[in-house]
Amino acid sequence: MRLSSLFVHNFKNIGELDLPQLSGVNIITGRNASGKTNTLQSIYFLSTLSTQFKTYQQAVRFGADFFSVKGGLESSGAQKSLEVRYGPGRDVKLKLNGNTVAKKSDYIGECRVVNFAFEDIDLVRGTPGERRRALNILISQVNRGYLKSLQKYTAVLAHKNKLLSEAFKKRPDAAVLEAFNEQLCESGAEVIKIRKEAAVFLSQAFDLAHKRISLGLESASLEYKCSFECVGDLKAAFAAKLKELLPAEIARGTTLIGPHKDDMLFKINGREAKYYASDGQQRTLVFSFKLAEYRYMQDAVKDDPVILLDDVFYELDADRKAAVLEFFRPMPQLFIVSLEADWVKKVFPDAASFRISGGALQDALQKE
Amino acid sequence: MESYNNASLIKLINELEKMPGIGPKTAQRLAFYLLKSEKADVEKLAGSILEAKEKIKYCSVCFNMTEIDPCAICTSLRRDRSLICVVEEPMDIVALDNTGAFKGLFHVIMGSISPLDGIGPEDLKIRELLIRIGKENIKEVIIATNPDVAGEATAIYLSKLIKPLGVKVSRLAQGMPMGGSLEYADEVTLARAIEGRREL
Ligand SMILES: Nc1ncnc2c1ncn2[C@@H]1O[C@H](COP(=O)(O)OP(=O)(O)OP(=O)(O)O)[C@@H](O)[C@H]1O
Ligand SMILES: [Mg+2]
Ligand SMILES: [Zn+2]
Repeated sequence: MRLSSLFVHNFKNIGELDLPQLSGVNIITGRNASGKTNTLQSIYFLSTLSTQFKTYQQAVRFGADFFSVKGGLESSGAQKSLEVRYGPGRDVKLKLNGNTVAKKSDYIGECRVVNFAFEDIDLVRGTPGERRRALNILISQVNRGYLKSLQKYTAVLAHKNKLLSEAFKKRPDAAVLEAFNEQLCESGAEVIKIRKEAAVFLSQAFDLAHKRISLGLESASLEYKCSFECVGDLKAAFAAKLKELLPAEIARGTTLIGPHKDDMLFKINGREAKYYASDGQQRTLVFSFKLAEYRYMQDAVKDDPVILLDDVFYELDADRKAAVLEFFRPMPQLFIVSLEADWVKKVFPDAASFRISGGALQDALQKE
Repeated sequence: MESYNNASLIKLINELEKMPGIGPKTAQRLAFYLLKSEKADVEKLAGSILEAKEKIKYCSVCFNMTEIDPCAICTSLRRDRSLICVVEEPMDIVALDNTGAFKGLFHVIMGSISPLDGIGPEDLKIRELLIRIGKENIKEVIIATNPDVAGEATAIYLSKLIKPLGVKVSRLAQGMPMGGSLEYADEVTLARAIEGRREL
């Protein structure tokens, strides 16, 4: 799949950015704080409806009261158009081929991306929440059933936790709790099942990529870690454990197990990478994981996602940079942000390059 | 809004905006439409709103909206009195009745169990439903709460209460879009959902 055009309005520091003609390889250059990362983030947002911010409001350009991102897409021979608009007010408007789409789950997945960024290191070092988020965004882009189950699970969980949080005031009605637990098990088991299947595929692709980078010296793996012992019939195991934990959940006022408590462990030579990998090893691990994400999407929908590369060559010497770029050469579309654009241009002589300044296009030099 | 230095107009727009499905733009359009209309027409509208508000009550048996209590459905001799369909809102009765596929009685529970909105079973007409099942000769209860999380929880909760009473409990088939509400489902979908109901 390829993004053929991009129009960004009031997104973060970008006032108006019109890129009517995108290429296979697109280099985005500019000074610090000019809006290069924000440009990549606008593509990421157009695809996943996610930002690194807690609220959409934070992504509205200071002083403005809405933002919008539009993109033209070529996907398996078909032309599509995507549009997302936030505000004024708090409503999000989604459009697909000009038609309003009411549900996020009918929109996400139309444009699929893998984002390589500096802060990816948090996947290894950070909290389980960050790893769950990465898995959710990845799988949701290729599996709408997953996104729907996840949304349902989240909604049921919010109701149940509300009941539990008020348990100290008013003992919750056991039958009501059970009515929510039943739905929690149903949607939760579905979420876990799909995540576990994804983790199996990802682990293999992850190890392969990592072997290629580490010259076969290290083995890497991923392991989905469920917050309860999930053997046999998942739904039954989840239900049984919830039943057992009910008094504890009432005492603590919250739901103690389920996909919202699960984790995914990064391992290197069998040990948890969070504790046993060096800085450089952690960098290579997250890089390998991102490549595994790419393979996962490619395998799931038989189509290549769009690749966003935000200064991933940072800290690498020339040989490694060249080696890393070779991974990307066969991919149909790349957006590359780099402070060393001249060097990237030498590697990709056919690339289009866009210079950003103050959140707008400074000039567009397109090579033919 | 400087463009309307007119308190009564702003008040009218604000009142209209409170209604479901009416945004600020529609509220403005309606307000201007009313102001352009003949005074007699506006009086007719205001009168009918007041009249309906005064005459229409909830049926003391099924909580449908009605001028005569009990309502026409509850007193009809042509309905199957061994079947009760449980719905969230009076609006849902209209949607289901229009399909013609259901010939039993109704019971409106006035909402769904929704902890996030602070609504528990005791806030709904569930006790009244259980009393009806005990008194009347009911053989089957069809639960037609909305297919969203709260509606689903209500269905599970009701089936747990009703099944021990020896009454068959079924759920409207999942022909409807998830998260949708009954009043927006079309008649064909609803009729299919009634015919394909599954036992709980
Ligand atoms: N909602 C917003 N409104 C206006 N500016 C914003 C908003 N959110 C973020 N910014 C600003 O956008 C600026 C540009 O950010 P961006 O991360 O895109 O820079 P960059 O070009 O990638 O720089 P670097 O080369 O340092 O990575 C930042 O200074 C940031 O404060
Ligand atoms: Mg940046
Ligand atoms: Zn009645």
